[in-house]
Amino acid sequence: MKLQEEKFITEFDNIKQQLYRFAYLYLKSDTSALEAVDESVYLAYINIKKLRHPEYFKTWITRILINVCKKELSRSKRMMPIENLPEQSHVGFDSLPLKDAIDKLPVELKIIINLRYFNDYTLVETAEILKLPQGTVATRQRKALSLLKLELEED
Amino acid sequence: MNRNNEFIKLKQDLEQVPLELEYSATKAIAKAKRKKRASILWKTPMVSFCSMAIIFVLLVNLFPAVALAMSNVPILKNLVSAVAFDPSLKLAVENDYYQIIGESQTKEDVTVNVEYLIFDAGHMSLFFSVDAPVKSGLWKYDLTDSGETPFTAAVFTNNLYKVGELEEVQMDFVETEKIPEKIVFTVTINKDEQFQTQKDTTSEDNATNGTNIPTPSTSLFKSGTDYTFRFVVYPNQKFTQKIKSIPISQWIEIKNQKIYLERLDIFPTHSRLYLKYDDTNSAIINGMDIYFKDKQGNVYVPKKNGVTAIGYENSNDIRCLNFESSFFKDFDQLTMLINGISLTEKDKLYGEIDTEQKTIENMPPGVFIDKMELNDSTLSFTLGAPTDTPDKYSELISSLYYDINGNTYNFNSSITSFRESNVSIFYSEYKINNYQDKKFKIQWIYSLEQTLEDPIIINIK
Repeated sequence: MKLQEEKFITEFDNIKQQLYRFAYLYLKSDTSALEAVDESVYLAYINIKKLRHPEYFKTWITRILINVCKKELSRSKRMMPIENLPEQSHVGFDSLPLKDAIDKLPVELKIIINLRYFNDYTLVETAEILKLPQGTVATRQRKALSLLKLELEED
Repeated sequence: MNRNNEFIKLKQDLEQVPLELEYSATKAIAKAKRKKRASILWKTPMVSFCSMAIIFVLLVNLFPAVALAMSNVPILKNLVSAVAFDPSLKLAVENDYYQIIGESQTKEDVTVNVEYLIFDAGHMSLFFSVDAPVKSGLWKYDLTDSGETPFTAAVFTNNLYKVGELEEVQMDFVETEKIPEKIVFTVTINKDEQFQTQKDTTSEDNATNGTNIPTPSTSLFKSGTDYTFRFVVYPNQKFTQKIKSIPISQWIEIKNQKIYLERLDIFPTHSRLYLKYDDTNSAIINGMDIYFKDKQGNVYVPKKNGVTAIGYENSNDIRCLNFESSFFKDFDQLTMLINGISLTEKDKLYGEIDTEQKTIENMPPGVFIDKMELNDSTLSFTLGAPTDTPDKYSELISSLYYDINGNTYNFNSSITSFRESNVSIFYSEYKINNYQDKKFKIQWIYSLEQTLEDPIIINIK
């Protein structure tokens, strides 16, 4: 095995659990989550030359995963039978189990909560992944915590 | 309200990650390396298998587990020249219906690469290749579920590998089999520098007799070195959802036999026509000449490779006949055409073999004894029979035989081959090791096809 392959596997091994957890919470299916991770690691490998700064491997592959998950979710929503479509009624976040409440959050808040609190990405990493100013990430994270009635540390 | 406890609990729940995650990166690397090759590889097996088309060995008793699974149900027939030449699989692959496995294991200088899986609720084709410092050799395998239990399934393979080429292991699940989440594939590769394929021996010895083929009971794994590898394969369960079922629910009568056409299940890799029979029928159906045609003119013929039919458990009847699949075709109307049937009268289903007199009872028309001899307590006998279609052969007898007390056993090996360039007669050689008796019984599963004067046409969709 080439050195580059070994390095790639090691880098992936360091964060594979975070990637899987992110995908699982986002897609709510272990099979879909595994597929999303598999697809992301494949895309990462074939595009590895585009990663100019190896120190950004983690944020880079996470961004790939988020795109894969978004794509998968939009695809599966298209395939959802019409009777299974959720009602677009007012959402009472505090009346739902936490997992469901997170799922009901607007996507930009859901991703931040997922990364920051379930996968322990730092504020800097999260901002880098989402290509947002840190201040914007902090504001959205505060809003999400408030909606979910979670009292967690914000830093 | 503070939901922090709920948060902690949820976070703990998410700590569980699947084992498969371990292989994600290696699979990705393998996929990246092979993706480009995939479309080429899939199209080449026909050519690469042609040179060994005349040798197919049914591994009967080398693995008791496989033999046990086989003894339950399968009817393995019409094993034709090229395992990998399969229109349905080809179409499935063209529609990206395959799973890349990309796992390799190496022991000393022998590497096995498990490369692809094509899988649906009725069938599995697992493809692997061997790298070793020889040109070719013999291999054997075992398939079990995660609890090491053999599947109730029909299995079919050849047992020759050529280094660097794709080998295929097929398995057809019966209706009642639960679709496995894991498949344990144990493969033993024999590396023998002295090993020669029939092609080699033919050219060197100028021998044209199929009995020169190395057989499992005599030469397989008796020389060279064995390397055993164990792979755990996780079929993507999304593939098991793909099935279209068309009810037919119609009785027909052919040659005084009443047959109920139950339904057609269309899987991505094959279709199955499910059949039932009237108890008063005088004969067993060995096969039927049926094909399906859609309004667009596409024709779906019986499967010619691998498992072509599956039997009822504890019965001699065929439960379903397998056809090429219309799964990936957009069709409007499907018509079934029945042109012929192969029957064995129930009172001629079994034949007694007298090894002293060298006679066999109830031989179907066309079948003849080519050879019968006892050497060092190994009984071998070869039967010849005409083919319905040139270059295509069927199994003649069941893989089970019965001693005078009615106990059942598996043959130790069976080999079917054509000789020289005569593709209208095939020869099947069977072997029993440690043969002590004078007589035993076999079950015929072969009969020449009878063509119908008026084909039966049924619109099923």
